[in-house]
Amino acid sequence: MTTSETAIPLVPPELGPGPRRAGWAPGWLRRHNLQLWIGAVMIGLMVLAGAFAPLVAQHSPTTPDAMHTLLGPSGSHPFGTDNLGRDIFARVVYGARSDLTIAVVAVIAPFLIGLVFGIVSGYFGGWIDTIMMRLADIVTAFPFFILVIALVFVLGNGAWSIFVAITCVSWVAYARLVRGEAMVLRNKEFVAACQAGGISTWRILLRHFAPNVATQAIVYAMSDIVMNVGVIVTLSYFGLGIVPPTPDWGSMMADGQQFLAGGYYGMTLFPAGAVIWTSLALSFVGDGLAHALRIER
Amino acid sequence: MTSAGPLLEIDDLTLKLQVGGAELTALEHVSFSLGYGEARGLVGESGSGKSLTLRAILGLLPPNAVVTSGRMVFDGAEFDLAHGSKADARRLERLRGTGISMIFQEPSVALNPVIPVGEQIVDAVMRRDHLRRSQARDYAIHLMKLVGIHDAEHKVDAYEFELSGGLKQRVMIAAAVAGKPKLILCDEPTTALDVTVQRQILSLFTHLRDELDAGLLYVTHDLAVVAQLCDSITVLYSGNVMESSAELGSVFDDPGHPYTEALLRSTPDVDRIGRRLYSIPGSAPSLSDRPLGCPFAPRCEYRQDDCEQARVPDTSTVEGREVHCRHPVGHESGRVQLAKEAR
Repeated sequence: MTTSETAIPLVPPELGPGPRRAGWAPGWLRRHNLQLWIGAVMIGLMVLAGAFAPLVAQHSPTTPDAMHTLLGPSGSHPFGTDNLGRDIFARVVYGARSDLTIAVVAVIAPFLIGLVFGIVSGYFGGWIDTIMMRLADIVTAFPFFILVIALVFVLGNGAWSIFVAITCVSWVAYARLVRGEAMVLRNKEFVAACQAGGISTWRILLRHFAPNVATQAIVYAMSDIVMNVGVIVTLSYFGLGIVPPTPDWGSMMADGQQFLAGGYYGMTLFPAGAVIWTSLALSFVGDGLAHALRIER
Repeated sequence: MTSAGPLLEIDDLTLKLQVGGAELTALEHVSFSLGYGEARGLVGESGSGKSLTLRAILGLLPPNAVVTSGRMVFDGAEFDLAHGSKADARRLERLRGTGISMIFQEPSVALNPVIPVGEQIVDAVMRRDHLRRSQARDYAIHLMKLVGIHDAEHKVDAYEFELSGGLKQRVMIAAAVAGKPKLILCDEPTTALDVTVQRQILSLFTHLRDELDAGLLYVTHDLAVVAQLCDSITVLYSGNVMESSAELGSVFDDPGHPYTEALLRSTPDVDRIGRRLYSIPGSAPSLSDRPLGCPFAPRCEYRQDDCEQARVPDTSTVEGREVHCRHPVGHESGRVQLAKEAR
């Protein structure tokens, strides 16, 4: 050991080449990820069509036209018309509006509730965890659809009650997912370091836990949107969802069913195609995101 | 240097761990003190209770640890560390980061991987001092420069995994000094680093001590580190203070406790190259089957029959020195090879 302790090398020679945070997107997005991009383009098209529905569709989705019922696809009506003479293309496009909006909104609320619930439960553990998880068990004890349908029955038809019903049921999945992550995180030493630094518990949970545990939940949210589209369409198909004449894919399929025997496939096929297109797109995005964030599912 | 008396005083700290129904004593009547600006080395083998002592000071013990007795005086304020005194635990919590801060052994796990390191450095002080984001960022850069990170302007936005081990530990140190604490607890901060980086970090500590005028409680099992950095030393073995001295050199030149002597003898020394390195026979007792009297007795070369008796007295006659042994080694032993040149 040398004697001179005064000459402190304040500039250490061992500095590695620090990666610069430059570029048009975070690294995980730039990585080659075809699935994510195909999904993003597919869902992007659907969202744009819904957002600019008045420009995309040349006809009103709700005005009946008794002179032109059950037409096949043509230049003026790309998807044909339904039994009341309404333009199916316009109805599919406007249907994207209502269905996608509810699907997305009904993911955000459970996501946030589940995130908070899971973090608190996982971090504190003990009796808090026991009580919170038993509460979650109660919700899980009922089959998903039965509970949602029962709630919509109680709340009445419409977008709002679908949203409330889905929120009440699907936060559980997020809570469990996040709780598991939080329990692992709780024992990480940086949590002790935060405490040693005098950072308050709530700040540790919000600032340090939430970003760490959110990744899994975000990936799950993508598949949850797919699920929600399914739920909304199914409810509407059974006449429990969005109230006619507001266009919606589920009720469109239900209406078209009786004309299938007569050879009029358009009324059922096109909204069904929209459901498949959307689900496929969101699944792609979900898988792509999981891959990008390197999460094994 | 605000008041007379020591900066930190730990008195009669006893801590028990509950493991599978059994209650094991991990710390027994541990006492020591630390003056303002002083650096004390807390030395011992793995499992001797060094880290638990640090965590007890911060009130950051694992859930199965119970402090059964213990009093702490920090900067004139008195705290009851014993489990159950909620009010004191709250007061202790308020000290964290600003009065006392801690540097951990493994910097790569002590940093949050999803938040830029700069933000973590100032996380605690930002709220306390109501800094705006830009001010906090400037302060973080300032601190990073203080701990020897050049191009701090870029590194401030880096994430934990983008930095080398030495840089991470510098970041941890920057975070620890951000609140201008009076006492910094170091839990083997150089153990996870390779030797050259270890050397740089030690120089940094020496430098920061002068700069910040903070007390340092430095846990390590490396006597060379203590020799380089510390003013005073406390030797722990199996949760008991074996020897303690306000003057480091006296312990190195003239160890009182057979354990300290054995530790010094088992330290590699350049003057004795080619000779077999001494090692203490046996192994440290597990907490569950610790002898009643002196915990070191079963491995001790100077053991006598009365060593088995409980509660070993302090037999030191020198001011500022404590030797918990009935048969201290004393000046005449002359076996100690590791001398002051280590400093």
